[in-house]
Amino acid sequence: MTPRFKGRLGLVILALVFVGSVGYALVGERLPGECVFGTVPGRQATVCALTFSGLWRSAATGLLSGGAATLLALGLALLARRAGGVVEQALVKGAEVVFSIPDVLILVAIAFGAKMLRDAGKLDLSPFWLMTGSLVAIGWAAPMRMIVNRLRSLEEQEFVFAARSLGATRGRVLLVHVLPLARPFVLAIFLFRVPTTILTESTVSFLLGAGASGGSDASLGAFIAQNYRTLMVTGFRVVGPALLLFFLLIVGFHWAGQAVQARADRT
Amino acid sequence: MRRLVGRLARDLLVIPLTAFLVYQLAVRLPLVEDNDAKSRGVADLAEKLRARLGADEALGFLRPWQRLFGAAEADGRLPTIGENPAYDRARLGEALAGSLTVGGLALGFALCIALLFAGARVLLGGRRADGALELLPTIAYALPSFVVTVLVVRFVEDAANDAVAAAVVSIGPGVFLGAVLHDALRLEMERPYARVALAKGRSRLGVLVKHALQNALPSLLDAIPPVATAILAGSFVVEKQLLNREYFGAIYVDSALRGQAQIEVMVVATTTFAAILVLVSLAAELVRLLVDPRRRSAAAEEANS
Repeated sequence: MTPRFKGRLGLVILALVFVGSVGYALVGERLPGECVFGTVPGRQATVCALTFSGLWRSAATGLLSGGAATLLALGLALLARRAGGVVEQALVKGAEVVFSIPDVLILVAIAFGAKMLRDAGKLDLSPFWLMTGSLVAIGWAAPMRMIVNRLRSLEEQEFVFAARSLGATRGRVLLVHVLPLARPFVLAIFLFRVPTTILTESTVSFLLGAGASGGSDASLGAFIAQNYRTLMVTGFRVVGPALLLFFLLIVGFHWAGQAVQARADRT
Repeated sequence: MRRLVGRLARDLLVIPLTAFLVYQLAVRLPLVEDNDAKSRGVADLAEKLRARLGADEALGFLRPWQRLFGAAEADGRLPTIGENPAYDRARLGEALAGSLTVGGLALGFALCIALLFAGARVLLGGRRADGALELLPTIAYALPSFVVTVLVVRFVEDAANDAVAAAVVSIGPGVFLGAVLHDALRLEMERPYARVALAKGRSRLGVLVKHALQNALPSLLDAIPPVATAILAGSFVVEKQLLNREYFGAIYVDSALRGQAQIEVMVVATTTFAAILVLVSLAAELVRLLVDPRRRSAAAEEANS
């Protein structure tokens, strides 16, 4: 499969998931009859309602954290290239250190700190925003290294030398000449960051339970964690739809990212 | 060798630094009296906890280790609050051994998967089956350890053993390593020495094993440190949800959920994980030095000059 075909397929998958979940939110609960997958054992809610709610929560976490982490990475990369020298080295080394620590290890440690703060009544942040913020705090490092390398290679182009020789400052060269060319690459990084973030959030929610991501309104990972023990009794009726949607969400974003990156590499 | 020694010194520094930072973070968080302690009339628990942790001492971050390994006032265990379990040296040692068994097996399985995947793709290059294998990295990426755990729970009877857990953890990292190795092997198979060997009548498999693989191994070894972190994250999941055994990863997660009751366990566990990752990274670098033919010949040239 060519990256272009993968990208189109990825976008079709994402569009289908989006239309399905929006359609369910608009008309699904008004339709006669129950959700085809029935209700979740021990709860009043239907499998459809909780699965789509989990999908929205996972997608929102991924898009918000992925977007914020990419923007933070872009800002730091521009700052590093603008300052150069020791500042750039320090920022890149810092990113390498953050990148080398496992995400899940840090997120579990943050959950530990948050529990202590919450127990002491000194944290009034919802689990959703805490998770989103934590994912941004650890998610900027890998994109920043990649964007710095990209900016560095773009700055070696002839038109940059021409702009410099005409008197353009380093900041102007970066913002006016280099950044527009780096845009597709940054978009690809964002599209890769979204599934990575969803995977990390789901893994941590699966480990720590729904409390890690948003209380009773759980993400897909937390929903699966709460209900996977029902597999032996109900088969895939309860967690099957969540597993499928999770898979499609990750594959859709990943393939879309691959297509955009292939396009960015050509420019 | 000089580079290795420099890296050894730099990386080993990460271990005490992690111990210090995690400890400082933990003792600066607000400590409160838990309900259980209150009901037993224990006053001023937070103060006692700070004193126990050595929060105001310069070398306080060594206190959990002193407790475990027999310095002053040590009792060989990490105390906790309320009814949470206390961990002694033997118990933590067993837990660590269990985790290392799962992690070591997972790394071994991942390397086997990588060799099989990359070898199959190079040998099948251009055929329809290769096109199908091309999709495998995306599928493996979209099936993290917790999803595989759920599938194993459904389909495998008696899945709660170390080998099954390691296999669950190794799938994603193995396919990732395979993709890295495949790229390196493909490049090596296009080099003149490989083409000459093929022209002389050697089979594709022979060229792959005898010539290309040793030159592609450094790329594989470079990818092992990030894979070790993925295996670590996966091992948390399988230890807690599949094995349901008190291995080190499961203890770490449980301690996080218990909050201040097990601060010392958190400090010890986080530092141990940092040490494991540093040691895996150094081992990969050492093996790279031994197996990389280009670096060996460069070192020999340097020695001769």
